[in-house]
Amino acid sequence: MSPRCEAMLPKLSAYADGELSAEERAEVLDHLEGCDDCRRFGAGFDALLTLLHDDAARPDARPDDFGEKLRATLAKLR
Amino acid sequence: MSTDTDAHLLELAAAGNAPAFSEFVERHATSLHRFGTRMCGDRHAAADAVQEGLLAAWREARSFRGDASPRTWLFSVVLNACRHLRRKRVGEPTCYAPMASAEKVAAGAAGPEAQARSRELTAVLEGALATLEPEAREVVMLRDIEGFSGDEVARLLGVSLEAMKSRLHRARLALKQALEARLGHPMEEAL
Repeated sequence: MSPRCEAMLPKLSAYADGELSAEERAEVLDHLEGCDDCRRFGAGFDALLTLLHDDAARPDARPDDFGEKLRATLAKLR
Repeated sequence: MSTDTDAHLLELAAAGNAPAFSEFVERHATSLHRFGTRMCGDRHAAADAVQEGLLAAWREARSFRGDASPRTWLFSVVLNACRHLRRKRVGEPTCYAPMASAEKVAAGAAGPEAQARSRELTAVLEGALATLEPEAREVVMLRDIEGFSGDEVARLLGVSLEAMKSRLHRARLALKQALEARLGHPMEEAL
């Protein structure tokens, strides 16, 4: 990995979270355009964040005993 | 379910209104369960930790000052309960049981292929999350799955925003690596 690639790595999170300045963002995009390794890594990073964000939208998978315990706990408060 | 805001329900709960507290909790039960299960390692321990946290939240409802959102406050109480449980279980063998009931997850997906893919990804993600250090798991769960803002996560974890960002980046890299090891191929080919 080149020094430029190493410098790029810590910026990926900030890039994904929209926290970079316009200048820094352009710098990342410019690097990604010319670097296959970093572009691939960035695509993997994007896929990771998509997987995580989608996870919260998956159907409710609460097991029945969780609901029962929850209701029993809340019933004690009444 | 009423149209009351979380803040109003919590205000009522602070005055001793148990049904209002129940409604507030029920609104967040799915995410509390998901978070608790992944922080505690298995769904039975999560159920206990979440119940413990909710009882603490009920007792401490009057302490809510509105500095954070009601949801952030509720998660902070449950996060403490999960950490407490984890400390009690130090040295015990880790028994990780995937949270998702496959049938329930499948029931919400589109076709058979999508159902199978959804089950597979959920299982792989949960397995990979379980390999992370607790601090890394907390930050990824709160920021990337539960969707709290950076400021909220920093507040929940009791660290500066910069420290949270740095922890989050390291945690994402570790999770990517753990996922790729389980999938047997790069992340970009997973979706």
